[in-house]
Amino acid sequence: MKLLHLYHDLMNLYGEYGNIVVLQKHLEDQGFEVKLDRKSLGERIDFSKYDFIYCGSGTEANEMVAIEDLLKRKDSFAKAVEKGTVILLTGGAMEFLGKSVNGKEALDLLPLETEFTDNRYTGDVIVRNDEIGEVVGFINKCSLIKEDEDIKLFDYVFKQNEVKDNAYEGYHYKNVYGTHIIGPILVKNPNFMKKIIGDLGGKDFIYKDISYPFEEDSYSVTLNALKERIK
Amino acid sequence: MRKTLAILICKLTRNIGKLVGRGSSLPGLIALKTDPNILSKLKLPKYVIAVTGSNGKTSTVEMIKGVLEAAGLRVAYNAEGSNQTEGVTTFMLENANLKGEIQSDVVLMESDERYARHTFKHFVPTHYVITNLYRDQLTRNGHPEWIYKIIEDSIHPGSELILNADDPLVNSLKGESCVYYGIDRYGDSKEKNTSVYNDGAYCPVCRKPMTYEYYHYNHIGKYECKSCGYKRNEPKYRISTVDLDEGYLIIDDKYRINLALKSIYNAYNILATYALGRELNISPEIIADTLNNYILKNGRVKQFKVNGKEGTLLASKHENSISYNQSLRVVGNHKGDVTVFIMVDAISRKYFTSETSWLWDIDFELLSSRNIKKIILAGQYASDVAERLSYAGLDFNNIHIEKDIAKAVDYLGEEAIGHIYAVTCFSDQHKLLSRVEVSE
Repeated sequence: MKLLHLYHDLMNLYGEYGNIVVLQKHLEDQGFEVKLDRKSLGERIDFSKYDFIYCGSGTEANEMVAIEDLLKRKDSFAKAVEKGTVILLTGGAMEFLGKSVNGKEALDLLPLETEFTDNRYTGDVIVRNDEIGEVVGFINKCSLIKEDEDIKLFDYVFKQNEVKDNAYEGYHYKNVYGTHIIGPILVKNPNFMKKIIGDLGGKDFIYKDISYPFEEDSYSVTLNALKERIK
Repeated sequence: MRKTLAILICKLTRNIGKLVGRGSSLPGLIALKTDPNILSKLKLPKYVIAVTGSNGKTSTVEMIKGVLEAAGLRVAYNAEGSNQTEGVTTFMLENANLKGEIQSDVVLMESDERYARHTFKHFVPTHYVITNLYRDQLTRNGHPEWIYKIIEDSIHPGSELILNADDPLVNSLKGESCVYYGIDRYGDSKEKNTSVYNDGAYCPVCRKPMTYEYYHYNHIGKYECKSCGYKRNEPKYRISTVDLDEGYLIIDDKYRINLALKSIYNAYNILATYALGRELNISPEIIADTLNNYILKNGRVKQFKVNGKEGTLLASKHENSISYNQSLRVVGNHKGDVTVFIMVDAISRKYFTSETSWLWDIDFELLSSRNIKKIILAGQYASDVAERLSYAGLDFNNIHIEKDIAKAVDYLGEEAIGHIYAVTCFSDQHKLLSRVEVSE
């Protein structure tokens, strides 16, 4: 199993590396042999070699630099998307696949458009979908995005603060998951982690039931704390 | 007329507020409602000093006050917690007579990095110290570059900036006149970044990779961008020697200061204080004398006893990985066996969040130091901490998890080995201190 942490040193706003190190451990627990590569600007990258590609959130300036670099590799990345590579893009990285980000050309693989604003939206959230269930996290962005409801990833259950773009959150296209939630989202959400591992395992894979008490408890503590806020 | 009325009302509400134990923002708020331009109508003294940045504000302001007073100046300063616009208004009017003249030689203020741009619309500091820009309270601040933009908006002609040259972001701020301070390479400087993240990996100006000659910690050190030529400015004031084992530093090759708190972070606060003092033409001897063995009164370090065992509380800021690292370094450098008590129960005392990503930015790997015999995790987020520690290469046999704080403190009293260090936030520290014997 080959994992790629893309722009690990650039798109790394808030403990994002946690996602990839914990995923690696869980995959090993499932019996996979795992190789993790970390790649960044200007390096040779063959996206077709990887089973999983992850990119986290970054500052707006870093995001623009990352897009510029990724545009040079657009065909290779687009092929990986179309062939069904499992890809997770969190925070600003989810904006890469749209038509444009803040007036600049982006990868144009999905019908999204992003504009940066002078306002910052930060807040804890609960989002959900039928397959994964409820996911807790933290959104921290200044962007407004036009998303496409047909490929939405989550519905909101709880938003600490209002954000004026969409009633839904993120996208799920082929095996690409995009969400504005930043930080170690897979560590904090055992169900989302399990879903990614299931996608990576493929059709015949049977998930070995392994308990991760710290992860499960962290999730339920935050889920309960956020649900208290709904009342 | 409005001015006098605003000042009068502010003073009155402040006095009543003090009697009933109310905070400092309401009187300022009322004064601003009475006269929205009240701050710009005041007659300021010769020096107005503001200190901002992510970390070290309170300590730096406290030491600056000590130095200014030792130099014979009368100082009006805002205590911790009143650094937003309303609080600043209260503080300024408290120190003004009814004509609006500030009754001191210096106004000294800790300034919240997000509010300075509002406050400094009304008056401009003569000296503006900016300590550093770190990942701090991202639930409110967004990220350091976001705060950078906000601080840029607070800089106006007429201010002299006193900047930390070793922080690549702070070093890139521009003003009418700028003075830099920095620490030379010392024994603990490293050629590689040893932290779990590196906010100095890319040039803040052109976004090409930066190269470091050395790191003091995290992204703080001596750096240069080979692409655009951006680099650390030459410091006018420098710490030329630091010896944290012996506990002293030397400024500008000449002025020795012994450290009550042996940490590189404290060294930066001392240096910022020195730089400001020198810019005000205070003699280096007076500054060095005042700062020598200076024990901070701001309560970040407290001694306590539990079941007869000696402990030290290191108040650390949640949602601020560098603040935690600072405490973990003190623990790792302790000569002799140590038990560490880490409590994350309420993430903030001022607002709600259940966000724990910041735990992944803390260098908990520092806890692998051989003197650390036991680690106790307490509070409702103990599992979040335990999860992070699972990936820090530590021996889990020495880690005890007890979310219930009362039980965790009992366990601490019974099982602690060696000196105890409690690492927790201002939001949680009372939950420990109310259960132990606090020393004076």
